[in-house]
Amino acid sequence: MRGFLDEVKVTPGGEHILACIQCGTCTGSCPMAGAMEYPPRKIIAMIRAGMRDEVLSSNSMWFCLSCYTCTARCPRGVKPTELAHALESLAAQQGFQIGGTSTPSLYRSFVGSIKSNGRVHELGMMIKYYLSIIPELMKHPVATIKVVPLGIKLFSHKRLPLKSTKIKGKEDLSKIIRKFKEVRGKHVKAAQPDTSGYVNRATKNKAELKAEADYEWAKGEGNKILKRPGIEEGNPGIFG
Amino acid sequence: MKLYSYFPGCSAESTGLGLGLSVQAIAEPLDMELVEIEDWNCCGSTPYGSLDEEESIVVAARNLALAEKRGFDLVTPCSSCFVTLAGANGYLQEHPKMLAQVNEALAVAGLEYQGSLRVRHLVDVLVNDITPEFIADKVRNRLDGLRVAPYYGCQLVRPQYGLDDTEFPRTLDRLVECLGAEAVDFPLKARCCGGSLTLSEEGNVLGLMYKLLKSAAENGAQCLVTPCPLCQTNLDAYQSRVNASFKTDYKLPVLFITQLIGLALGIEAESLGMNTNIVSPRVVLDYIKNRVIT
Repeated sequence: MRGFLDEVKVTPGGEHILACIQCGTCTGSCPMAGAMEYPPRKIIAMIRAGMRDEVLSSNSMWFCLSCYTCTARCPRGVKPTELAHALESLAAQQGFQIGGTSTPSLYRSFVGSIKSNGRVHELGMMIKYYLSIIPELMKHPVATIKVVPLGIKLFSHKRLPLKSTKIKGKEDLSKIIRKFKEVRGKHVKAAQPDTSGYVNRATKNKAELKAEADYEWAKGEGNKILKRPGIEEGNPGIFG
Repeated sequence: MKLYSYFPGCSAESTGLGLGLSVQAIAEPLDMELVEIEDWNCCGSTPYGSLDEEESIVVAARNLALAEKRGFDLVTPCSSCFVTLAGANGYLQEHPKMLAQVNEALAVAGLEYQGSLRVRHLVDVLVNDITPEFIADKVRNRLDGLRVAPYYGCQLVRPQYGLDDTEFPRTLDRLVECLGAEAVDFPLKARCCGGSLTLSEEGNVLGLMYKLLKSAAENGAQCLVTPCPLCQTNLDAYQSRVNASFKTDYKLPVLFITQLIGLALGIEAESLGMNTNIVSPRVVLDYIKNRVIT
């Protein structure tokens, strides 16, 4: 059976997750840790405990600013920034609804602009984004009105052109993306994650989750640590 | 004349217009020929990778393939384009299987990427190819006494490229100093400004900008310089929002490093897009005018 941890491991950016030693340098370095549902260190522990639903429906990775401070400081080369992008990708592709942040809407408007023009048309992207979050905006009418002068300022300083730039190779780009999806589809079919044994983690109790987390750790990192030089398999060494 | 394949990035044509204009303006006096990659597409930036990490690599790869044909290093002045293109490039160079898949897709447009390209940030080129010494020779208006806070932001120095230190970088400081200006002590020079989340999480990131402006002001800076169009837009356009939220009165102009270099080289303010700056850069312009007169 291929669990959530394995799925994360094969997504670009998730490769190094087993190297984590839970030191917390990432959380300590993160400018947004305080705003996240689960800060970076905890998210890594939760992935290793197989908590798919809790991780992919959380707002944590969507608060990542891509400042790469955690990546630069991590003593184990885990690259938590890339991991956050991998989690965002998985959540977006598996259709998880994320509450408490409009960053996914922003990103969708941005990518939509690339797909229709080949380049980002910032004014169009912003309009599309604000239209997509109208219900949210209605809750904060004062804050919403305050956005207007900002847009006008950028516009009057020639920084929000009305006209979008469409590249000549726009069709080429769409064809490339379509072909890539096709090529990847073949590739993914061969290595489809098996979720048949998947149980909703929310229904499990804490002790079960802890036991699973320990098991995952022992299988991966724990196993490596125990194979230190001098401690041969079959030779219990100091533990004997 | 040094030749480069130039990738301006989408911002250089809109929110970061001042960057696009000033890079073009300083290229010739500094002996750089920036040949724009024909019909380049958006690099994908962080959002694309966040929605589909693998697909974002293929979107970036079209640019890499277009640039590789020419054979020069790809140079971009935008930190976000840099981190995205350099990241995709590194991934493709290290993952031959992915490169094969990407090439299968690129082939439908008659393109191929072999993985030989070098992706570089303009600051890297200015410091290591053009060199601060050469720039200093070309300076016509020395900016002696002007106190500048060099703001690196994140993606110019992180993750680790070997270009500069990830916590206390020095490259921008050297560029500022070669113009005669003083690079003030700025401990937060590589801290995050909030990136693109100013649009979706303004309440959570205004505080980050406030800390940066406070640190620059307390260290006596008369202006900030940055190479990144997103950092510039945040600190420039949102400065009034910071002032409103934190009951402050900052009026710190935020210039692109290329604008400051251009002013020192004696290039007209308008050609450098100084009229696109929202917090008036008058302090800096007056400084130069007074120095020329006296």
